[in-house]
Amino acid sequence: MNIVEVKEFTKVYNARKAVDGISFEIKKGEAFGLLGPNGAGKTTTISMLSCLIPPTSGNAFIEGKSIIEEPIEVKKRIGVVPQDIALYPTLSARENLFFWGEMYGLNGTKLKEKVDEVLQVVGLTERSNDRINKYSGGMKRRANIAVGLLPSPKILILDEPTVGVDPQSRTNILESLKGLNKDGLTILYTSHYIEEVEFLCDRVAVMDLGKIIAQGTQNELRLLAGKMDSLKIATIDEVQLILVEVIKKISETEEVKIADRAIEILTLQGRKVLPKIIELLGNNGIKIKSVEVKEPNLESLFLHLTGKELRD
Amino acid sequence: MRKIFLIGVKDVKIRARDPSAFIMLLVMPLLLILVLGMVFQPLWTSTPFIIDIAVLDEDRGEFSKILLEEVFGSEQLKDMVKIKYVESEEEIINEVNKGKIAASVIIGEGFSQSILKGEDTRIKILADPEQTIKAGVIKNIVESFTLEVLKRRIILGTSIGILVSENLINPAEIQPLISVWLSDVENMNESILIDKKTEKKMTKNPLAIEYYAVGIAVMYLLFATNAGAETIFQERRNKTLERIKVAPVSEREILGGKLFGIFLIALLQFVMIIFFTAIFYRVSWGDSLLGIVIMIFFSVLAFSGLSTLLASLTKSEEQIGNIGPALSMIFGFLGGSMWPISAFPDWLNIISKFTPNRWAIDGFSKLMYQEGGIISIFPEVFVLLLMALIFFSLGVLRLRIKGVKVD
Repeated sequence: MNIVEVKEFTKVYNARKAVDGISFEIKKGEAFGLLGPNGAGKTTTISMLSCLIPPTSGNAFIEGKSIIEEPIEVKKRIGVVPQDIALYPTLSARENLFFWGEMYGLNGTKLKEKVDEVLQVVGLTERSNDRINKYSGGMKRRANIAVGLLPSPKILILDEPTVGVDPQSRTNILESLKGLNKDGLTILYTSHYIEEVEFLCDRVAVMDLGKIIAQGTQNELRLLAGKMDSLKIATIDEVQLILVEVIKKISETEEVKIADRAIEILTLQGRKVLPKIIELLGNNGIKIKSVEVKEPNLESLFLHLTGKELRD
Repeated sequence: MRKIFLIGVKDVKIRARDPSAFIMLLVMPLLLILVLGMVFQPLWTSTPFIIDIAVLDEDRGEFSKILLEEVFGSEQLKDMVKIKYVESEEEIINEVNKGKIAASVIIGEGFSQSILKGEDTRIKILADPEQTIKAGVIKNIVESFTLEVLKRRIILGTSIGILVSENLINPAEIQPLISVWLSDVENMNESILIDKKTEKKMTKNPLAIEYYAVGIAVMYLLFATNAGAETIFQERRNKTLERIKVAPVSEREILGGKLFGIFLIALLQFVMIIFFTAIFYRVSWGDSLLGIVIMIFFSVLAFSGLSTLLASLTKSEEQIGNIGPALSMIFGFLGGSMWPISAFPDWLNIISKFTPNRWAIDGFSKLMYQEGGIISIFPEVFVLLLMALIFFSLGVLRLRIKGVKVD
């Protein structure tokens, strides 16, 4: 069952298409990732989906409710975690949560219980009475996420929620979200960090220049990237050109390049041929500096589809 | 409605935790009231409270003589009421227009004879609307005088009627009785002073600290409402406006909440200044509690409207932060917060009527010095309401066109 259905979403700003006719669906209980570089149109897509800005054309439905015709019904069903820390800095986390809870129509005991619950989820119970402006960046991010969880949403929409966060807090946040997803919460997660999307999301849509250039499960997308592993061996000594032909034979591939004391190999069985190549180099008195094995991933997919790095 | 209330209360809570706002909105005005009150008090007390009036006495009879010589010329009033005798109503109107007199008293021909004959008669008072306090004092004196005359005429007329009808007195003996009656009337200036309210008001010279309590409190209302209006921009800067907009809250509720916040911040500030000045500076804000409440409400409403309009015309927190205080000072100067309107030249006097400060100060002054009660402040309340409606309508219209936008 689809919780979200986006149909031909388009947003035009000053004759420039920020989002260009994208469509996708999110199933109940799924963690769906929108991956793309800055300026790809992820935030605009989320803003339209959250009824914050209207689409120029197209429509989207949350549990069958149109974002254009029934925005209030849609807003009741979503929890949104914006990219920025959208909290009142001189109020405590608890006061912020009470205010936002009331904005979602919660009150009384139900509100108090819900505030306690989300504070527990994001691990801020002990510091809940501290003002937000006394929090570290990571704690602010967690409080920001807590607000999104308050309305017990059908879908939690997160827009780059880990920007500017230290690695430890980032891991905490991602693990919390993974746990929530396991408990049945549907998640729409945007990021330009591949590892976050790979860690969290079942299905991914890759965006660039306002368009979805690929979407599917992670495995489906890896297949799109091609099946070749990439081996990169840096050496201390120069590699004689004569060895290239031997390596091609061992690797069963023609894709071997030698340049600047490094060998780059594209092969179907990277891990299998690597020991043989290392042995060959050793027998020829060539000392190895480092070895890198890259299996097909979303980064290589993006490179494959657009010809540029995701973080360009 | 609940969400409007919650957004407003949240804004007050945030403002209350801002130490700079506390200093700006409470400490500063209270200090200013104290300093101005102390510095200018000698100036105020060394200037006697003098009421210049013009009198056209077409009667020149016993009763006009009593009013002019015995009442206005009494020990209590002779230093305060300065009479200029004129010959025509045109001359009076001319004097009023020049602002030289606070009020004029016109005693028509045959005034005294009419009283003696038991016929209806009248004293006409023309007041300068710009000098409401002084004109009010004169009106009180004349009203007290006519009331006393009326009481004695009724008592004497009834008594004589009974004495004659019962044949207890010969009509020829009535004339000497009237002389006794007139002699009583001559002493009525004391009766006028029995009316303590009138006596208090007639002799009270407004204290500098009282005047500045009203003037500065009103001037700082705009600071408070501007501080409230700034939160509209702060919400945008902090991205919390976006967050409210993605919650199930209508745009009308968001705007209503922000406006309610502006109103609430100013209301609390104003009430706190009134309480503080009443308790620690001994400022008497008048006896009409309801009148004070009404004036507070409509003054705050008018200034909230003004700040809403200002917020709709500016583009950032910085802009409103720069324009707001300047506007407060200009309105304070023009509206009589710095010194009394009566000291203004005519042209400035007219300009002052376009500021809410002027009407708020006038309203509070009436409650403090004239004790006119709620009815007396109706004109001020009406104008403040009108201003609030105009300012809010324009401001809200512009804000809705701008759409409390986030993109």
